[in-house]
Amino acid sequence: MGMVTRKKRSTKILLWVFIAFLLVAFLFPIYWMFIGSLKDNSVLMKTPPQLYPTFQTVENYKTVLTNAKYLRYILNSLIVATGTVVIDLVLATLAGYSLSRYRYPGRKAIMILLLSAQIFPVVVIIISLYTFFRKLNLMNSYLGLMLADVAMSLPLSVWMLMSFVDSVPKSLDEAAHIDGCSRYMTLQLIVMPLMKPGMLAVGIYAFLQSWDDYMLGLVIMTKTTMKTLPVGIAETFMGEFGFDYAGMMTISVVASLPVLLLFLVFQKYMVAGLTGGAVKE
Amino acid sequence: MLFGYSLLLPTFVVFALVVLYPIIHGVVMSFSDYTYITVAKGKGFSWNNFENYKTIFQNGLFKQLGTTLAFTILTVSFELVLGMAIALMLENFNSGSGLLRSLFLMPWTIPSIVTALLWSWLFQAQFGVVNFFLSRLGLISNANMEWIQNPKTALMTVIVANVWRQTPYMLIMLLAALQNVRTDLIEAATIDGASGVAVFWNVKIPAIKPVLGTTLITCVMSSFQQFTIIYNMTNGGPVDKTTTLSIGAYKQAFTNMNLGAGASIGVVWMVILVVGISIFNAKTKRFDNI
Repeated sequence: MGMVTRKKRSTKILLWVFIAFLLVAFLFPIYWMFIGSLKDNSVLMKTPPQLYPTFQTVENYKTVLTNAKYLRYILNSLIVATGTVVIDLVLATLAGYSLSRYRYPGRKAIMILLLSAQIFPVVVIIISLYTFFRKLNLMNSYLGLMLADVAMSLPLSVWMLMSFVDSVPKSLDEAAHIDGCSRYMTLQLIVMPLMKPGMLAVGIYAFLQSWDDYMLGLVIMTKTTMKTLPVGIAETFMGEFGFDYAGMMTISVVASLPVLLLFLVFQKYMVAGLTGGAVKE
Repeated sequence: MLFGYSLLLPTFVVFALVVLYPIIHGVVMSFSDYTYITVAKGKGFSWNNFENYKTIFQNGLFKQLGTTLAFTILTVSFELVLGMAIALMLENFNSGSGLLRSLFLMPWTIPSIVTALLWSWLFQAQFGVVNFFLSRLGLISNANMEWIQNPKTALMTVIVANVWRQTPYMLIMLLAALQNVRTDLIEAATIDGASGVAVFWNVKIPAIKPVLGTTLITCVMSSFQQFTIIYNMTNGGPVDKTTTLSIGAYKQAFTNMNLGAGASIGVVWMVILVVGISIFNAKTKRFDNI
């Protein structure tokens, strides 16, 4: 018995060492980004590198956050992401409820289509949208990019909410119906309040997706005043400021922090939403 | 029934307009002269006798396909091994697994463009910390090793960046699936004298197979789609060593201004994925019981 527990304990220690190693490997780049943003370029370009954080300089943040160009990119990204979330939520809530509760011809076809939407190359979609949006005057418009972003997050959003409604007892709908609720009122007053955790997960997913988009924004937004943050960052630091590593790390923190915080606060819902549909089957 | 359709309608309209129509349009245009010039002139479809396909075959389509497959297979394999290892370890922790999970998930929220910048900086030849650690550990003799500009290692650098960002997704899916395996099955197997390894292969793996299948397909397809990280770290280079189908199609369309040729790369890609998934489905019956 003693040997078994000793063996168990040594396995446990080994496990801890291994997990600690992997954790450091996964988190180090994020640590490096944060401490890099607080250092001067003259310090960053020293060998050997300074591995510990220093807190003397916030100059980098002053430079970034007082630059009108960056503020404009951030604002554009926020507008597009917020609009994407709203449109995506309205569409996916209605569609998810419909696919979960109603049975009609074409339902299965739609579900397979949503599930296999990832096969379609985004690059082909954007090649076509380039002409299509020109005709509709949607180039360099928030609505144009929002629609494109919505289309990217919609399939999984619908799928997540459909699985979520599946877990809301159908007897509630029936009771509401007997009590004289119309079908739309049943959705809005009875089911939707119960869908809130799922809608939260979908909303965050759509926000992350839109905030992360680069290729769609790159093609649709060509005017400097309309560019989103990822496109603006790429343009600046892949070009003339390619050696401004301090600025690079600072704008990286600025671009990551909103989504990182959003995720950390709501991760319970996110994880449940993402895994719910797949794991339940 | 009519109410059901009416709720679905808005989604269907947006999806049809911004996904289905562009895809069909793209397939049609892959058989037509379709460049910045024809678009500006407002010219419609004009059959061009597979000219776009000839162009892409002459411009390294097979090489791009090989690069895409190498990128995808390596990325997804690393993600699977790492994701599974971490999931199995977290499953073993009763206390603190919530916190550990949050920490492991963090890279997944970092935007792709930031991932590209960050790993460019980490892999930087003179001041990059990767070279510092590797030379301190005595693993490389050249402390100023070029990783991203070196044709031999460039693909590896974009794979590392992609694996770093996507493994957390694999991890949450696998962890959720593992936590859902019926404990009585595991207990019964353990009482019957099965070792931990045997329980893993004979009880856990069969139980999580459906989730594993869905997650692998998702990761394969998103690796095919990967654009931001590769385009911004290597721009498809050096000497096209990291030009995947996604990068190749974008460059044909928007750098060479030949939209038709770009679209035709996408058509080849769809054919490959449809055939691949059909084979996968025939073996696993994944899509048959929706």
